[in-house]
Amino acid sequence: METAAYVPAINLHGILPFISLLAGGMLCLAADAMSGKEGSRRILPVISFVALAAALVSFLLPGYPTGSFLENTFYSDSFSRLGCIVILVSAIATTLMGPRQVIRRNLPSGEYYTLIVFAALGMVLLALANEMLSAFVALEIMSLSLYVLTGIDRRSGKSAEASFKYFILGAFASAFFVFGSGFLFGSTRTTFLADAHNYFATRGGNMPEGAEMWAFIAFGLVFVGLCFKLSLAPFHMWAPDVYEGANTPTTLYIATGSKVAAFAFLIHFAHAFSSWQIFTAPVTFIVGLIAVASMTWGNIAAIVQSNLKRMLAYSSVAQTGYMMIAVMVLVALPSLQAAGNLNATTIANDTTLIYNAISLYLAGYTIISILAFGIAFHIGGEGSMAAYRGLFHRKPFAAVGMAIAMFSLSGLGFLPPTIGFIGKFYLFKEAVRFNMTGIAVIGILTSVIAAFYYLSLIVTMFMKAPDEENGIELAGRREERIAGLGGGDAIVRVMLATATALIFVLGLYPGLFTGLAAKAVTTKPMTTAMVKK
Amino acid sequence: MPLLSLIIFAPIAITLVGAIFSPPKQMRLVALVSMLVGLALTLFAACTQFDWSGNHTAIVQVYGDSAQSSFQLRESIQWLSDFKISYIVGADNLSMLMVILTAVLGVFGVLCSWKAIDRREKEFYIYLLLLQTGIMGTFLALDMFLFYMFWELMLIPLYFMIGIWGSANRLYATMKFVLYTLVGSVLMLIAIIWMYFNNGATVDGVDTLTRTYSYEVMLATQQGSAAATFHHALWPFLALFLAFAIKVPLFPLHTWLPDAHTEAPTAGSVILAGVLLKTGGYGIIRFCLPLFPEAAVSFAPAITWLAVIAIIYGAWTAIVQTDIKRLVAYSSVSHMGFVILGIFSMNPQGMAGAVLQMINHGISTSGLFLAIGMLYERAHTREMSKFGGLAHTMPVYAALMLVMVLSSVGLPGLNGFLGEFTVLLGSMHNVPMLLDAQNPVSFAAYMNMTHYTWLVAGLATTGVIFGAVYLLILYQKTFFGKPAGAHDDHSHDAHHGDSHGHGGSYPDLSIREWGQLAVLGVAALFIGLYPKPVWKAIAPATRDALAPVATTLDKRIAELPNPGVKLASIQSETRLAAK
Amino acid sequence: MVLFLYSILFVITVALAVGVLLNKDTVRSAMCLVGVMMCLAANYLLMQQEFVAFIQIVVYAGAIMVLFLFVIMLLNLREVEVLPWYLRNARFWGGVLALLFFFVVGFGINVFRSSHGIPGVVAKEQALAESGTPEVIILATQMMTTYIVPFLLTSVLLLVAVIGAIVMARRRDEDGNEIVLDPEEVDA
Repeated sequence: METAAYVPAINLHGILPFISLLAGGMLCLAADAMSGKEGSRRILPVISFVALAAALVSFLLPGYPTGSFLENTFYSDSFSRLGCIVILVSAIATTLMGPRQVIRRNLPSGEYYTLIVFAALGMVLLALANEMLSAFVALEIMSLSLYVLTGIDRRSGKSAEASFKYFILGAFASAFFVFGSGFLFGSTRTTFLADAHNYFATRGGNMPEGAEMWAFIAFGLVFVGLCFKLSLAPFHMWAPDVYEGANTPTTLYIATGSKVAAFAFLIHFAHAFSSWQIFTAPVTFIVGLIAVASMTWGNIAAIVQSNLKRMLAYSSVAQTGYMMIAVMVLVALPSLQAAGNLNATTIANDTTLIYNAISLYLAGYTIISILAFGIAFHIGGEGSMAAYRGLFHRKPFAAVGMAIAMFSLSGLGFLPPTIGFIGKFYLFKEAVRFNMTGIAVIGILTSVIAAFYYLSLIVTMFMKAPDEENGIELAGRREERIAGLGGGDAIVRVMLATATALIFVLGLYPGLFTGLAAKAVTTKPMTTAMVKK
Repeated sequence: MPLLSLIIFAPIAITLVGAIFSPPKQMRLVALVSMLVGLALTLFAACTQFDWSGNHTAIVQVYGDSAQSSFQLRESIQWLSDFKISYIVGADNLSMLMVILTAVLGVFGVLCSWKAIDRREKEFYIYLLLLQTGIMGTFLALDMFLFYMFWELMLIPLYFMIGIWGSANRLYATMKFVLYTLVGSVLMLIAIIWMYFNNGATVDGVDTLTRTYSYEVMLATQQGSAAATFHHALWPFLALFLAFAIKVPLFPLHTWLPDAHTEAPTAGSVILAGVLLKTGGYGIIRFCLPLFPEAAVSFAPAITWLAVIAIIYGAWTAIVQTDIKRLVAYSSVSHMGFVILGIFSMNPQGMAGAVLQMINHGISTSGLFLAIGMLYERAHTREMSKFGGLAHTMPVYAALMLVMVLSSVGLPGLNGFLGEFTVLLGSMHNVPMLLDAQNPVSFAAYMNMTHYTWLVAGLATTGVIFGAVYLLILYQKTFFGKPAGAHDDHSHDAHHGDSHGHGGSYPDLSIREWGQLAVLGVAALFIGLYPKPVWKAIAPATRDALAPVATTLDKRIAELPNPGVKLASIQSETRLAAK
Repeated sequence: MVLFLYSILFVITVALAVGVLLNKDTVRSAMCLVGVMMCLAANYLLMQQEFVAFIQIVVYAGAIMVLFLFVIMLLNLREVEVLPWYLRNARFWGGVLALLFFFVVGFGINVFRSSHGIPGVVAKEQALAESGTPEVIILATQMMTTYIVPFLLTSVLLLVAVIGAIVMARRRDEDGNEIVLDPEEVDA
């Protein structure tokens, strides 16, 4: 048996971010092994920051490949590129909070930074993946890193509980995912989404007996798996416990990075099915149902939470629900085309617009989360509401920052020129454009419910007197004081200030962000074949 | 010179700069200067730059779409060009009147907080000026999105003002206020987005749409064609109307108002009653009627009934209040009911009366809240039973309060009378209701009540009578009779200011205090005795607001199955309207 | 005939899986799991995937289960916990769901075997199979060509898993102190 040497076609720029992240993670491990406790505490954040920043820059550089690369395993379009940028920003924010977190809870810094970098690798891979097996492996790299990061604080019972819950439910989600992939292979005989897209385009009308149902089940199972990762109702049960139990930087990472990655893959995955005529109507309905459930339940359950991190968990359930509105529009696009309302050019344009809307929303959500969790981290106390009573009198800047975060998370109604508002505005605008005013109205009314608990926090911070005159020394701050960090370090402050500035700058000029990928915009127009074999 | 932008932004800019340099105690001076600068700019614009004749027209361009516009002092900047949103401000007679009212009351907002606000002064005045910016912007914005932004900007400062400097139950009140207003405004946002996508005309089943947020372009498009797309739209009208009706507030959406008023600091109450409620009426006149005339005419009878209910309900509820501020708050519900009643009469008298009533309410109710605030600063209570015989101890106060009360009651010779009287006159010829009565399947036609507008006017008139009742009760209980607190030792001032001795004796007004009330009193007297300039200023606003509605009404009359003799009278009404 | 064999296998697999859940003795549970693995291997054999079947036996039934049993015996975890009623019920429903699950899998696989469209990747596999190439070589070829990327990525996954295992199993922190639960943890 003779086989020629197999040389895969490699686009070096395309895999540059992967290489830099992989090398960063390895370097972290090596450096940790070679230096002592204090040394690695100092050097590892630098290494991981450089690795993440290098990956970020390679996405920003012009000439990043568009379309399929690396054996059709990955697909890069404007949305996934913007997604990767957002992911890396969230990873960098997590890293920047790292030094203080490591000191607070005496965490093993080697593993801590390595896992942050590897999780970023998994997320970036997942966001770009266009093939089920790679997506699964990427999902697992990301999830395993996050399980461990959640439970890395071994002295905390809550952290262990959160890690265990996250692991068990996450394993369930992964099982759903891989099971669905199997069904997809069964019905279309491929794990490559581009091929699946072609299969549905050419044979979607006359599939073998029964295969239609299995293709639907394939979508359903993978979708459910991703819903777990996205913490969409009714698959959100893990979120509050994990958000509360995990250390705050990790919570931020789970809330933003992993969601963006799963979301980007969901878009790729849904696109594979979009060429299938009978797919649109039922899936639009299901996605809409999930969106409504998440928006209402997330917002209602958030009202009664007494812990900030739990509240933000439920709020993030709702926020992801809003994003599903855009997915709904995206899924419904082909049927609009079929109805003759749109021609192919507008389809491509509209898809770009919706991509922009979602990526802007994701970016906004991430930046606001960085601000909110960052301040929660800065204050300490692991999200207990007592820390926020009369915060304005003790730490006016933190309180104002948190208020800005809350106002812009609630999005509608307040402080219009924030990115939170523009994101929601853009989203609802797309929904109204395609005559989905009903779900826009539901979304907008649930955002009024959301305003209630966001405002409650502001009431607590601004309108109530602090419990004790001198303020309480919160968990975490004590360790920092002993370690000589005192009032916290400058890096976190700079990060929070930057996030605040971005909230307003991107709110006024959203084009700055969506333009990042504009130089090489390639949109996969829904329903048109895009594979170049 | 960007005069209108200066009116909107100069005061807050001065305040923000001043806040950096001034000590907290001097912040009130900074705020006063800012407000005075705003007032001066406003008066300069209104007296020298603004053409009150209402004959101004010009062709304007917004993102390539051109339209005929009657707005003056226009400023236009392309802002969020990704979304075709621009910064456009401009004024016509209606907005100019409202801006003057806002600028004047803004000064009083600072003056009445002079001593009342004694903690976190910097924040307070920044919020106050921010609120002023939001209100000014709301009255002047000509881009729907910009309007929405200013509309929302009004919310946060008042939220903090009530929540931080309010009285005991403030957290509940402030939350209720925000949530109520928010429901309306987010629905308004959806309606605005809908308007962006659907602005145009349907000819032979084909839509020719002009996507724009510009109010001027929208207005031109919608009035340019009988087949305009907004004509079939009911729910965008309802969404907009709901937002405005909550702000007005119209029964049954009024329940936030008494709480917000009662708990707000005096400045908050003054601005809230004086100007903020007017943004609702302004929005209805500016957007609901001209853009959605069909829907407006269709819903007018129902809305009119709600207004009548608001008038009577507000008055009755005010009678049984024991808290002075609450009483005045409910009187606001009643008085703003007249505004809605006038607008939806859809004839010149009703509309002009409604605009005047908005101004009058701004003068008299703000005056009442100012006066109550002065009393509250002395007594630290708002319970009517805790007062009595103030006329003896505070004669100046009693005299000025009397002017405000009588202005609010609607005594002939003062401003209130003119507004309410004209609205009632208009409501007797409520055109949509007359039309409704001509419709053979309507309830009115079935009951053979072809002129049931008289019933509406009659019921609304009882509101005026009850208004006299509760306001005179208020005046009598507080200013005449025995000084309260003479008999009970555990009164409110047990812990406060023993130097005043009995509860009923407080020092009379300082010059700062009676100055405010005197200015408002003079204004009330002036409008009441010599209303001609005000009527002249209002007339073009009335004409502009009613022109599109008149077209619709004419069409409806032409469609009547059985015109009969009644038609003549209605047509005379609409001709009046179309004038 | 094949369907009959499948059905029998399903019954046995499900029975053993229920046994894993219901057995209160951990060692017996583990032995049931070995049985489940064996049955799955038999399934692969029925699908003519001999290589995967042997791997299944060698890796799962052999290596992993032995490790499992070893740990169980080492820790001597034999105490029986009394579960609340709803958890006992949950076992029943879990069993029912598992049953359903396996039927779904079974029918699904049957449908796939009878379906025809074979584009893309599988075409290559089929061509190889028709040329008489042994199954192992087909698998290896696929793994080193079409699926090279996920194959390589798996190494990262394993590395992450190892790091995670080390973190979670560690008894002493970097200072050499015993890791104990923080008694002062804030309880919100």
